[in-house]
Amino acid sequence: MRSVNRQQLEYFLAVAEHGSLGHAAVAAGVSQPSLSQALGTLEKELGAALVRRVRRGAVLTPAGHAFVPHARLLLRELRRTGEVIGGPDGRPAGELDLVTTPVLAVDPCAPLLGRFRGLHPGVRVRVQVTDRDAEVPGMLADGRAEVGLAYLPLDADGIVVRALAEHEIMAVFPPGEPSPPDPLPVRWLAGRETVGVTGHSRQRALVGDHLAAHGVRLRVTVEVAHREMVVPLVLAGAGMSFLAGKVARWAAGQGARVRRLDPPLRQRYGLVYVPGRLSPAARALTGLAVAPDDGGHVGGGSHDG
Amino acid sequence: MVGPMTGEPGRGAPFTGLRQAEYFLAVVDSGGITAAARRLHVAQPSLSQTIRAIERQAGAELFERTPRGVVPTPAGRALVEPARRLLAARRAAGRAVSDVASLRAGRLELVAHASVTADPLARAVGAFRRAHPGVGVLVEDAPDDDELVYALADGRHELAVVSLPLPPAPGLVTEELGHHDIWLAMAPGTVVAPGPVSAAEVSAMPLVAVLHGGSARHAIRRALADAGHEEGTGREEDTGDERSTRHQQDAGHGEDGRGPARAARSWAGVVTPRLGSVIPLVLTGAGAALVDRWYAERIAEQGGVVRRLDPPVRAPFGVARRREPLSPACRVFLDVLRETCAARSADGPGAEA
Repeated sequence: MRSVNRQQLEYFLAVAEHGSLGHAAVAAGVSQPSLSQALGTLEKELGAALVRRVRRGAVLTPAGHAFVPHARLLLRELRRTGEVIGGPDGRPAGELDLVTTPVLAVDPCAPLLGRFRGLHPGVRVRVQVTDRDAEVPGMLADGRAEVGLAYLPLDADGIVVRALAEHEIMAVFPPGEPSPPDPLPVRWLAGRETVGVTGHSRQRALVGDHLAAHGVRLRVTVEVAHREMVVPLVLAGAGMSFLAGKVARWAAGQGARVRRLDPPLRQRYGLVYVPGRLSPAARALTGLAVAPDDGGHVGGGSHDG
Repeated sequence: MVGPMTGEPGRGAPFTGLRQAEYFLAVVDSGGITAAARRLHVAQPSLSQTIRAIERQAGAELFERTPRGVVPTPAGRALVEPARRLLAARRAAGRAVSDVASLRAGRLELVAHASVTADPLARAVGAFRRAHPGVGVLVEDAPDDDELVYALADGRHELAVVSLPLPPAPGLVTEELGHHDIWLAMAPGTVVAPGPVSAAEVSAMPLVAVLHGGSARHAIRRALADAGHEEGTGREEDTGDERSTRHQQDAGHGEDGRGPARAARSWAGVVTPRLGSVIPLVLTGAGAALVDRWYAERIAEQGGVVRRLDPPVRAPFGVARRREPLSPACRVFLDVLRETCAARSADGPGAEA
């Protein structure tokens, strides 16, 4: 496997992602014969067929499946060799691939990236978002991201988990309603009309389980695909909802009534990564995340807007 | 994610591929181009040229000449660790691929009819796992035969282990590996004469039939038809879930216009979607069933009464695949399956008189 080059790796991953030589060639901006030839050379170098041509395109062989995360890692390491020299004044440069969930993307990921970019302007950060916390370790293992941020616990073999802090999940009500009790007994929520986000977010499951443990069921009367719509809907009086961390505080700042639950609902989140694979940029981000932060991450107490 | 393909690495990216990283490290470790060229078995001029190309790509000088020889510049030094990591990643990748080829890792993926899973597939998978413990196994359920044949031709599955025959399809080959002898299994306490049972006697009994994945559907249909059995008898009960009802309603495909469901309905008192449920159905007296020897043995073990058929009914099984070469795990497994089938004995279960 001596002369594997960047192009062959990129073409192979394109075929893996598109499921067809033709689509991969279009995506790569080359002719299909060129791509096919590069793929053939790669297969000869590795001594195994990576791709099986079938009626509808191309599928990965078992060897191809095994090679995918390695191809991504090789490309990443190739890219990294460029970062070492290219960085200004010796600080980390290059790219950082992060994966997180929609809830954690807003808090703590965004503030963390703000601080990180201030310190490391040479690093370009790419954030991928997945609906399910459980998918985060898989995305690290197959090389699609370097660092993940997810609610814990996570089922993760061979992955380092650095617990960071907790979110407190708060109940959020429209302004102008009679002031809900503070703290808010969970049973008070029975039959309440809520605004919910479609999908299988961990937050939704956590809230559901927490309430169900007390015999309480919610009615989701407004369900939206876009998380960004929740706070405006609550403020507009469409119903109550549940928010975590800074988002709850921002909603309070805009006039919503935010209440801590009784019993409280808290969920720990953390950073995850594959040991031994961190780039200098990723190491810097991890260091920043686990360092104490004067702002604090834990959601504070109840607020009224 | 595919980046721009200009054929040149971006500014600041020193290596176009792994060979360049290897050459770079050889110069670092050997302390000079001449020594490195010897170590790599390449001509010195071409190594020099490669190093110059790497420096151009990196946008920096990586080596400087000193009285002691060629030593890395600070930029060159910074590149050493990443280059070593790159080559380590290359070695790991090579190992991963060869592990799959040599069956130290990877996964065997099969699709199979339920009828062959207890026998012979389970034994073959057991033998395969003992021989290759690093390889996981996935056995998927075969969809109906037309879909299965499509899926094989499409490349969605490499190897199918099935009751035969399958509908013919261009590009597919089947290989018969053995057959199931079909037995009649009845509830405990059934009074029946010793010795094999004729098809006519069978057709007079209330029967339990399997809609999907049973061994003998073709063979049984033929045998009963040969015995002059008429269609349209028996009460229908849906013992399964909605799916079995839908399946009954949807069936009607097939060359002679009779799908398995309609055929089953023609002679079965009870129709179930699942092969596994035949055992409890027979034991509780829902009806008799025509099953292969493995199921007959399980039923006999729990007190059921089993008999051979006269004339014997055989349900062949084997594999189906595309013509092209199989991947290593499938190839090895097919050999194991052939050996397993060759070793199968033809003796029947003990409870016979």
